[in-house]
Amino acid sequence: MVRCLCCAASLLIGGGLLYGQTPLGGRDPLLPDEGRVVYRALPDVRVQLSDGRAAKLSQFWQQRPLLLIFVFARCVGICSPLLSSLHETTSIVGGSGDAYHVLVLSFDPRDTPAQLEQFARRIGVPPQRGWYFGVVEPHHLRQLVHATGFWYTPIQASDQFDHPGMMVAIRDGRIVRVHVGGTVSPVQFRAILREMRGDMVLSYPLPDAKLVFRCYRYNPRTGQLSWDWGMLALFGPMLIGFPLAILGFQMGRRRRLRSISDVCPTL
Amino acid sequence: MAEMTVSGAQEFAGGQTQMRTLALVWGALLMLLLPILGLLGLFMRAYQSQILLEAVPDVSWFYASLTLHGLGLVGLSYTVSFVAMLYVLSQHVRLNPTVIWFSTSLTVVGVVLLVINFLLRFAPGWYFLYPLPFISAGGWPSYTADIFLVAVAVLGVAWLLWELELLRAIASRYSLSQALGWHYLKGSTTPELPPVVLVATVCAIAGIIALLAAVAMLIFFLVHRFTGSMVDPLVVKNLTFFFGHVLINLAMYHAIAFLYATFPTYSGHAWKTALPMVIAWNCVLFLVMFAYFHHLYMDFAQPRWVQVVGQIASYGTSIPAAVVTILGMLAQVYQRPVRWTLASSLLFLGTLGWAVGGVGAVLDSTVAVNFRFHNTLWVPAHFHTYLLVGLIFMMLGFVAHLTQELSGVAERVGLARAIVALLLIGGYGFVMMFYLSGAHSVPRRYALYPPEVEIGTTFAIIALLFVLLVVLGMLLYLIEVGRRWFAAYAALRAS
Repeated sequence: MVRCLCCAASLLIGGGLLYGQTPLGGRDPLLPDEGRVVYRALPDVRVQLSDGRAAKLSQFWQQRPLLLIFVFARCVGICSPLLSSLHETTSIVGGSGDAYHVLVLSFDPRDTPAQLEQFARRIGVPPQRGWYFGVVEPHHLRQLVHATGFWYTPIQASDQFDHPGMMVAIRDGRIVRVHVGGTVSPVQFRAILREMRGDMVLSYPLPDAKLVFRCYRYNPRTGQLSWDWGMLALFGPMLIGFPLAILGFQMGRRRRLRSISDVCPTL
Repeated sequence: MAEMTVSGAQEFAGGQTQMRTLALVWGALLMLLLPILGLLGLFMRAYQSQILLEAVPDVSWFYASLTLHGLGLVGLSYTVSFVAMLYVLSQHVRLNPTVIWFSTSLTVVGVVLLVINFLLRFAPGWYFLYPLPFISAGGWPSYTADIFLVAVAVLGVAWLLWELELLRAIASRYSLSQALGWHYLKGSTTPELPPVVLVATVCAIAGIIALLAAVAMLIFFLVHRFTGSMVDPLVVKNLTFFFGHVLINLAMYHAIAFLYATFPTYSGHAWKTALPMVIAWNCVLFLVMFAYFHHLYMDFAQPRWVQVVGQIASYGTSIPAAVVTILGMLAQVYQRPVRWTLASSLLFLGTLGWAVGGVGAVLDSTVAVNFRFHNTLWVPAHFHTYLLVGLIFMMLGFVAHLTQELSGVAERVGLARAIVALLLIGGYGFVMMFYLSGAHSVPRRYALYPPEVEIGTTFAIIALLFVLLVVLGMLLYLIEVGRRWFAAYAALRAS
C-alpha cells in the first residue's frame, strides 16, 4: 500500500515537473537585439546624399538626434510598409527637421542615392524637411551594419535581400534605441523621440490582461492605477501573521496559568 | 513543590546545556562557511580586477559566485545571529532544543542544495528575481531552478519552525503586552522586561510574517513552474523583498539583542529596558513591514504613495539604530572601565559599522539619492558596511565571547589586537573602494567593466589588497578562536 502511494506520488510529481517544463516564449534570434548594441558608438562614415552633397554622419547627429533606416531600392518586402508607416507617423507627431533628422540609407551596393529617392517617391514618401536619402561605401556599410546589429542576406533566386525592418535612434553618435518591425506607431515613435532627446523613458512589460493576482491594473486612457487581487498576497502575510502571534500568546496564557496553578494549587 | 522546583531547575539547566552545544555548533559553522563564502567575494573582486581572465575565462562563474555569496551570507548572518539571540534568551525562557536542532538540520540540507546549484552554475543573482531563475538562456540547467525552489522551501520550513518555537517559548512566560513592554508605556516597570525578550518578540512576530511572505512568493514560483504560465513579476518582486528585506533586518536585530545582553558583562553597566527602547522597538515591528518598498523605487508601476510610504518607513526603522542602540552603546563605553577583549572590541566595532552602514542605507532609501545611485556600486558599499564591518563583526564577536565563556582559555592580547586591526583596516578599506566606485558611477553586478567606467577595475585591484588584510585577520581569528572552540567543546563534553 505504502509502495503504491509512493509510486503514485512520484508519478504525480514527475508528471508535474515534466508538464511544467513548458518553455517560455523567447525572442526571435533573427531579429536585431537592442540590448546588444544600445549605447554603442556609431562609426562616423561619409554618406553620399541624393541632393548631390556628401556629409559625415556626425554632421547630422551634432545638429540634432538622428533616426537611421536601412532599406534598398528594389525591395518588394518590408521596406515600403516601414517607410510609409514612418512617413505617416512623423506627419502626425511632427518635429522632422526641427527635433530630429531621418536618414534613409541603402544597404544594396548597386543603389544610387537618386534611385533610393525615386523608390521613396514611388511608394508615397516624397522628400520633406529633415529627411535625407543616401548611400555609403561598402566598407563603411560593413562598419555600420556591425555597429547597429543590422543584417542582410542576398536571395539569389529573387534578386532580393532577406533583412529585418529596423530603425536606429542615435543621440550624440550613440545608439539609444533600436526599433524592429514593419511599422511604427505614434506612441512608439514618441517614446523613441523622448529617448533621442535624452528624457528618461520608463519601460515595463505589461502582464497579460487575463493574468490573475496582479498588483495593480492600469487604465491607459485615464492613467489611473487600481488595486488588483495580487495586493492580497502582499498584505496576506501581515493579515495572517499578526493574528497568529496573538493566538500564540493566547495559547501561551493557558500554559502560564497552568504552571502557576501547578506551583500554587489554590489559584 | 520543592521537588518540582528542583526538577524544573534541572530541566532548565539541561536546556541551557543544549543551547550551549547548539551555539558551539553554529560557531563552528560560521568559522567554516564564512571563509568559504568570503573567498567567493574575493574571487569576484579578483575577476573584476581582470587578473583571473585567463585562469577563468567562463564569466558564468562570476555570476554563480555572486548568487551563492549573497544568498549564503544573508542566510548565514540570519541563522548565526538567531542562535546568538537564542543563546542569551535561553536564560529567560525555555526553548525546545529538539525543534532548534531539527531546524538546524534542515538548514544544513538547504545549504547543501544551494552549494550543489553553485557547482551547476545557477546564477540568477542573489535576489533571484522572478522569472530569471527559469530563464537561464543556456547559462544553467533548467532543473537547477527546481533544486533552488526545494532549497528555499526547506529553508523556509526550517526558519518558520524556529520562529514559531521562539514565539511559543516567549509566550509561555510573558503575555503579548508584557513581551512588547506595553506596561512601560503606562509608566510601570514591573514585571521587568529584559531587552533581549523585547527584541526577540519583535523579531519572532516580524520573522513569522516575513516567512509567510516567502511562502506566498514560493507559491507564485510554483504556479509558474507547474503551469508554465507567467505570474505578475511585480507581485513576486514585492514578496521577494518583503521576505528578504525583513529577514536581513531581523539578522541585525538578533545581533542587537545579543549585544544588549552581553556587552554589559564587559562594561559592568546594566543595559535595561526603558521607555524610549520600548517605543522604538514597537515602531520597528510595524515599520519594518513597509521599509522594503525602497527596493522598488525603480519600478515606476508602483504608485507614488507606495514609494512615499517606503521612504517614511525606511527613515522610521532607523529609530532604534540612531536613538536607542547607538546612544545606549555610547553610554556603555563613555567614561567606563570597559574590559576590551576580542569579543567586546568586535561587538563595539560591529555596532559602529552598523551605524555607519545604516546612515548609508537611510541615504539610499531617499528617492532622490536612490534615483542616481541605485545601479552603482554605492549600493553594495552601504550594505557591505553594515553587513561585513557591522553584522559579521558582531557575529565574530559572538563566537569569540561564546568560546571564551565556555572554555575559560586566556586570550592572547597581542593576537586579539592584531585580528581587530587587520579586520578593521581591511574591512573599511574594502568597502571604501565600493563607495568610491559608486561615486564614479561604476555599475554593480558587472563581472568586467566597459571602457567608460574602467576606473572600476582600478578600484577592484585596490579593494583586493584590503581583502587580503581581511583574509589574514580571519586566519588569525580562526587560529585564536578555533583553539578556544576545541577547549570549549571539551569542557562542555566533560560537564
